[in-house]
Formats: sequence, C-alpha cells, structure tokens
Amino acid sequence: MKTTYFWATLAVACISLSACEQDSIPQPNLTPTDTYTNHPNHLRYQQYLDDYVQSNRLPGAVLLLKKPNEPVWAGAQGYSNLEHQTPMQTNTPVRAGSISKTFVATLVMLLKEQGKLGLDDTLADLLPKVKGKIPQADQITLRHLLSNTSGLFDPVNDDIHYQLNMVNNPARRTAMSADEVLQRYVYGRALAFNPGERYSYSNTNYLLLGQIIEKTENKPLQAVLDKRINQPLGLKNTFIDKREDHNVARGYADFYANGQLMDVTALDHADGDGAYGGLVSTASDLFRFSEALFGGKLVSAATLKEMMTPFPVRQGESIYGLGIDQWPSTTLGTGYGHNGSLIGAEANVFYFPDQQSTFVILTNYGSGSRKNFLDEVLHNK
Amino acid sequence: MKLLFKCVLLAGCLSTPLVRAQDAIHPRHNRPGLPLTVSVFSESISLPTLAKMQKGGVGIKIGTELYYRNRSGSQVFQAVSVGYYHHPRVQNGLFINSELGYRKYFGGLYADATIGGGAMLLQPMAPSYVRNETGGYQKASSHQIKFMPTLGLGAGYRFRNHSAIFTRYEVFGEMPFSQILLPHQALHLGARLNFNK
Repeated sequence: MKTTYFWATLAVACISLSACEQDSIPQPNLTPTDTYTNHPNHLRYQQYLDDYVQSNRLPGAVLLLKKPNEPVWAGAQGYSNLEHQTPMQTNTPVRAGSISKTFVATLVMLLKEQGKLGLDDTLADLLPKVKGKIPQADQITLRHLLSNTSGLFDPVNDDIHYQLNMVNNPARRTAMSADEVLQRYVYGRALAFNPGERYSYSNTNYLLLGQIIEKTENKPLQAVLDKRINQPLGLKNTFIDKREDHNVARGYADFYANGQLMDVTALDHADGDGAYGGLVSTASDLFRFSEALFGGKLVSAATLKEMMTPFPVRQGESIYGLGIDQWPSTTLGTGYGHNGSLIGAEANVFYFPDQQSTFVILTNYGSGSRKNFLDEVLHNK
Repeated sequence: MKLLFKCVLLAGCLSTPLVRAQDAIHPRHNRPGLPLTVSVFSESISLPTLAKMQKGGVGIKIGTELYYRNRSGSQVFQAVSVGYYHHPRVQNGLFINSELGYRKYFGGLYADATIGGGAMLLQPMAPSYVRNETGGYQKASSHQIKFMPTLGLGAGYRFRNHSAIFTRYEVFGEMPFSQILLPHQALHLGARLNFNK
C-alpha cells in the first residue's frame, strides 16, 4: 500500500513537471530601416563586427561607428530573439543599462541651467523625505550624487538579498517603486565614506536623482525625458523600460554556467522609475544623443566641461564626471560616455575628442565581451 | 541524465548497509516498518534568512528513514526522499535526495539536524538555447539535472505510536550555477507516520 502511495505521488509530480510549459516569448515585428551597405568601409567594419560576435559567442550585436571624413556606419550581426530566430537589426532597440545615467545627468544639468537645481543643493533639501533615513543627507549634494561620491550603499551590486530577490520573483522586483527600493534596501544603511571623500559607483545615487527630477518637474521621469531630450533630438526609439515592446532585443546569459544561453529578459526589467538603468534605445538614437551632448547642442560648453570633469575626491582617484565616465585608451586618447551592463545586455557609447570619433556597441549578452578591436577600427592612421 | 542515475545509485549504495545494520540490531521478527515521512513546504530563492523571507513556491516531499542507531533518547538516521516544488514564473524542481541526520529526544519533543545531497530535475521557466556547429542557436532541453546539497534543522513531537509531527527549516542549493550555487530555503510542515506501531 505504502509503495503504491509512493509511486502514485512520484507519478503526479512527474506529470506536474512535464505539464508546466516554459515562458512563451512574443514575436518581434520590426521593419529594418537603415542600410549602410554603400558605406566605403562597409565590408571592413562588418567583418570586425562579425568577428566580435563570433569570438565572444554573442547572440547578437549592433555596432555604430562615426569617424571624421566619412559618414556614419552601423551594422548588426546575430539575433535579437533566439526563440524566433529574429536577426539583430541596426534599428533593434536594446537595453542600455547604466547609459541611462548620462541621460539623467543631462536632465539634471538642464534643470541646473534653468536655475531649478543647484549642484551644491543638498539631498535633505531636495528630497526632505529622506531626512533621518539616509545618514548625512544634509551633506550629500547633487554633485556628489551625479559623480558617485556620496558614499550611498548600492544594493544592485552589493546586496545579495536584492540580487536573489530579483531571481526569486522578477515581476515583484520590477513592480517595486523607487520609494520601496529605498525603504527595503537603502534607508538606515551607513554611508561607505563621508560625502565627497571617495568615488564608489552606486545606482542609488541615480535612483535618487530620478526622484529629484520628478519632484522638481512634477512629472514622471519619462515625460521629462521626452520633453527635454527625446523630442528636441528626434529620438523615437528611446524610452524608459516601463512599457512593453516586443521588438526590444531579448537578453541572454550563461546563467547556469552550462554553456547555454538562458533568456534572462525578466531579470533586466527596471525597477523604481528606471533612472539608474532602465533606458532602452537604439544605436542611432544613442549616437544622436552623444553627438548632441558633446557637440554642445543639449547643454552649454561650461556645463559640458563640468560634466566631463571627474570629481576631485580626497582619497583614491576617480575618472567619473557628472554622469559621464571615461574610456582610457593609449591609441585613441580618452573617450567620454558611459557603459551599461545588465544580466542579459551590455552597451557602450563613447566619444573620443582627439579622434573626433564615436562608437556605439550594443549586445544582448550580459556576461562580458572583449572589445579591443575598437582601438584598431577607430584609430585614424 | 547520467548524473541522476549516479545519484540514485549513490542513494541506493548508502541505504543498503543501513538496512543491514538495522537487521543486525533488530531481528527481523520485531523490526518496526519503515516510517513514511510527508511534508509540504514553502520555498524561496534566498540566502538563509527568516527576517527577509520572500514568497516563492510550494512543494511536497515524501520519504522514509533508515536508522544507523535507534535508541529511545536519540537517533542517527539516513533519510531518503523524493519531492517536487513549483515556483511560479521561475522554475519547477523534482528531486531525489538522501540526508544523514541526528535526532535528540526530550520526552516527546525532539530536535534534529541533517546534511545531505541529491539530484534535481530542474525546469526553469525561461527557455535556454545552445549554439550549434554553424554558429546558430537552437532551443535547449527545458530540463536540467542539478546537484542539490541540503542542510536542515527540525523540531517535532513524537506520539506514543512513534508517529510524529514536525516543522523543519532547510536550505538547499542548485549546482552548477554561474555564481557557484543558487541558494534556496524551505520551511516544511509535516508528519512521520509509523504504520507498524
């Protein structure tokens, strides 16, 4: 009798397991637009991209290059969606991760230019709700938040509970408001150092900056982004990941270290208001933004200089300005821009003033890739 | 699949000498029958924590125990179990495992601790893909075999007929994982039924 119970239970469990279907992946429906096959260096650049995708075993990638004295080139390789074998296109929207920070920093600087915000305004004055919950909030300035020198704790990178909660219930994590993220993971945590003392990358800085923008403008971050950046620059495929878009490249990672690429898109959705890593964009939109920012079309030359200048920390060193990071290269000189890294995506946009060159490289693989070919391809011989 | 067979074989090898040891202690004519242990449990992907417990999945575990030492005040036992859990939108797991345990009685009350391992047939809800020889990708099997290390602490009450009710806190892992091990915790509520008493 006992044996019968045992095998019956086992059979039910097996049937239950086999009856559960995996997630269904929506079919993308993206019409390719731009082609760059007439570019004088199309074959050469495409070969670089093909080699990059092959050697790093990436599901897909988009590369955009702008060099002086030649038109913009963009190419794509691989797949944006492995379920439907959808080819990656040059206009495929890809999660840009922390490149969001440069957009958010630009919004802050635009508000600063209008006199609505000051770089020395304190967190306690800008967001009174954090008083008593974030230590030294009356000493943390807008400049500290923008330059990642506040000392605020970063749950995204440093709290294993945050990371496991994300895996445990991705939908719950995505539904968390910025306030909830702060309440659960940041409030009551000690600062890692006194504000301004050191550089320490923390997504919390930009989570708070998103809140400050929304409070200052009394609008959702997406509306401010649309009004001040997307519409003036004509960025039609740039948005914060709070809307469903089946054309966005799926994200993949070797999650179980078994050589397989698991679809980890659910883990890459933004929480809060998306200010620190929720941006979705295309290579051409990101290039247009970079070109406008470094071309002085978005903010004044003085503001841009301020953004590109690393905060003078008292201990250690920093190469991070106000929402602008550096890409040091002995061949190309210093590049300015930002990278974005998610579980299933990686994005980089950097402008090299010495070369008058820009690259945008987007992949839907989050476990890292070697990009040393960029020095060679961008160098003006 | 080979790993699953190896684990089943290992569980079998571990259990065989136990039964023999038990035969030596208890002559066949008065040996109690094997107990049937049944528990339901809540599961979540988490480090061991009760303070920050998250909602995850639910499961059931069924098994039995074999005794290395079976005295009135304490037991050293080997538990062999099968189980299943469903973690909505994340994964399902069907497992077989074996745990070595020590149980101490304080009258009818008892506390125990276990350590063990097993094999889990895991079905992540997110699909995976494998690269083929031409550089393209095709869908991988929806099931994976994982090693499942376990640690547990329990407390219960044994009735006069040697059946018991218990609660049990367990942590288990999925291996391999990109960060070595994906930890889970489970809180069990169950009963151990002894039909021969």
